[in-house]
Amino acid sequence: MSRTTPLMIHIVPGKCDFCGCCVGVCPEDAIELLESNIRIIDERCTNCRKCVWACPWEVIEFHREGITNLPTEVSLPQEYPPSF
Amino acid sequence: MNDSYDVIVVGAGPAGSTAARFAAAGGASVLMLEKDRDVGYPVRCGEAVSHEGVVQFIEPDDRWIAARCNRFRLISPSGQSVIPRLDGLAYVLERRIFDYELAKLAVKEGAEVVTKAYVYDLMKNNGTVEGVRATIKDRKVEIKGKVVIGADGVESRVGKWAGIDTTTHIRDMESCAQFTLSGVKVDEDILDFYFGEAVAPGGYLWVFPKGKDSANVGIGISVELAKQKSAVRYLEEFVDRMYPRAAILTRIAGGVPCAKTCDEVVKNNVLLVGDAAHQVNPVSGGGIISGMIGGMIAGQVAAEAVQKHDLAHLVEYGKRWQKRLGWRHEVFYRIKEAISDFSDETLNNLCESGSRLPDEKRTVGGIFRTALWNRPSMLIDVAKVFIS
Repeated sequence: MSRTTPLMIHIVPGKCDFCGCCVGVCPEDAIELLESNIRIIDERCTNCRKCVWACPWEVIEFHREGITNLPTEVSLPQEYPPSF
Repeated sequence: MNDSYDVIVVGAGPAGSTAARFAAAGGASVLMLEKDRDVGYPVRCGEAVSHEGVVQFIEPDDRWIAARCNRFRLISPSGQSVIPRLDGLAYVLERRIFDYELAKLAVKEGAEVVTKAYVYDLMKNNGTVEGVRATIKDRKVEIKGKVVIGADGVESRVGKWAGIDTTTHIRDMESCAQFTLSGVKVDEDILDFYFGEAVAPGGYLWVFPKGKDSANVGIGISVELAKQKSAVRYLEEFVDRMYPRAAILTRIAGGVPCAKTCDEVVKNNVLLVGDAAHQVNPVSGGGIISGMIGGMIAGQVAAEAVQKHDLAHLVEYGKRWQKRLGWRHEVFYRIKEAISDFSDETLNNLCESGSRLPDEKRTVGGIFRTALWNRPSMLIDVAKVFIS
């Protein structure tokens, strides 16, 4: 399904815990999650908002006007997190 | 690391490590890939398991047991509690150590493990999966595998790439948050479960002791009911009210797929195990032991298929899982659907009548029966648990 509207889903940089709850409810396989990096795959996202509702941390926002001016990629420095 | 294996396991949680262990024990060459730098960290789990579940796989060890509990307490919306009889012992784990030990058991059988290895796609030939594409230490590599076991958790994508629908419906996904508190007074031998609209809509809140003066306090709420208010906000309210002076040593988020097992767990030489296959008890949200059972069966079947040079044998995994636990999870799912409709009043009634039962009759089933006896109007609610 191709989308005619702009991307409206925004992951607030620096706040994500990288837990994957949003990926589990995404019907479009439109979220890429790494150890400390997450991004919405623009071409696949349909703005359905399931990830927004799923996020336990309220890190994912919905902007009806589109998010063209907001940074969407969340990434932490390589030193995160200390392990033992 | 070679460029070809019999079995590639994606994800090194309990389900992945157990799959790797049993595949290797069955004679397969096994590579397990973990996207994070560590096995077992970060922990995304309430960490409670039963003794009977654990001993099927590993001898209990004080190094990964934070607390031993022989009771659980259900707390109703009105604040009344009932302690059903629990014939058995539960452990609160130190998952980071526990997961490490499970991975070591896989290594002992001959499996190789690589961390910081992110699988971003599957290698395919006419739809048949023949391996994985991964980024390992910033280098893109292709690794061939006759069988790929997707143990990539709630955020699973391996199944989707193989053509399996693993998306969890928002009604069934529990959006979770947990704080590990220190400086709190908790009963070291009791697992606490709080229920009700105001505390945890469509789920429950747990307080699990983690040794002296410490506890995992967490919550899971149905995503469908989390649209207005997120899990972490419910949790913060509870902690502010109950443990205002506690230090919060860890804050984690998570998701638990409280659904039935995926319709397909085998496709195109890919097997799914653990949370990736939705092998979670839909009522409790517990998935460590059931994921390990799924992992064990998948590992065994994968090794058999490789030994027989017959990948068609892989379908056996779905059948054995269904026979072992899949059918039970379907029953539990029906129970969950009925319980999730219980009003606060119904929960209060259950708790009150249950707490008046003599000790030997205060089982979970006994509580249901007594509630029914005292409140015939509940018949319809309870009937829904058993009839559908």
